[in-house]
Amino acid sequence: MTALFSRQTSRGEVLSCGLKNGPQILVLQPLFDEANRCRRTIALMMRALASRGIGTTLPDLPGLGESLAPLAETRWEDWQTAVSDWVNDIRPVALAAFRGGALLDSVPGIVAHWRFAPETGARIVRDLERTRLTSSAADKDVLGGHKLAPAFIDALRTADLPSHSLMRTVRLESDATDADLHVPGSPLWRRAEPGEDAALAEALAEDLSQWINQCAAS
Amino acid sequence: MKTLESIENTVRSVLRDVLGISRERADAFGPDTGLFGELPELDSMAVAGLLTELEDRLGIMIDDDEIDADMLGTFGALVDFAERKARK
Repeated sequence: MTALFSRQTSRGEVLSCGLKNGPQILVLQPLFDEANRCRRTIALMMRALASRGIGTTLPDLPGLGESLAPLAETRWEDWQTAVSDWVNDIRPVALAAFRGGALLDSVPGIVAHWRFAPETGARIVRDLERTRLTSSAADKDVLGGHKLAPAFIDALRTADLPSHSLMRTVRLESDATDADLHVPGSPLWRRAEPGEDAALAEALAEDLSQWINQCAAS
Repeated sequence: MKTLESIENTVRSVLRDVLGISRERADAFGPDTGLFGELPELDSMAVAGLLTELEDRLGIMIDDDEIDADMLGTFGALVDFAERKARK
């Protein structure tokens, strides 16, 4: 199986997989803790895409994951700028966005937008606020255990899913919301103990690679 | 309208998905099985996920002031709560 490797960009190191000279996809992770919970399955999807000749890159947004930027000082615009910079570095043929990552998939120069279980900012903030119901933290700047700038929370709360002319949305079967495809699997982003779902990763890679090829052919 | 059995099954599958527990373990849940405060997997993040998934799959809305330790205390209490909301 193809290994993931570290790749240098203008914004530091990112994880990549597959050939550098084939078509590239920039993967936008879910936001906050959801990213940790989905990471293993996303890595499996990247490997499955590599075996189909598609290279992928998985950056960490400023303040999240391995990023050294302080999240409390991060502005929403910093996330948008970061995505634009990676697009300029990697020149992907498409963005593949998971969950709240889709809020950031509006980037000049990108035509094809593939999304898995996209979520609005309002619903993400609501989830984070609900973690307060059963925890002792009362600080209103702390959401889901993260200290965030109030302006950032406001921007996230009002962030809507951008619409694009060339867009494909995949959701889980348990999700009744409209989608181009519903796939079996469970919402890994909800799980306290991060798991991996190889069948889901394979199904997503298959759909994404077929769609990319269709887009390229048309 | 969803039957009581299908609501119970939905609550069971949401718990299975959110807590990442086996089908056997979730199927063994009875009315008195303790949830919040009893299951280590059900932390504050999992409670948030549980509520949102229940809303989405049952087509209900849950207000924050409806959420307390009682309705999350046992499997039976959570099913009762979900059923009341779904029948409104």
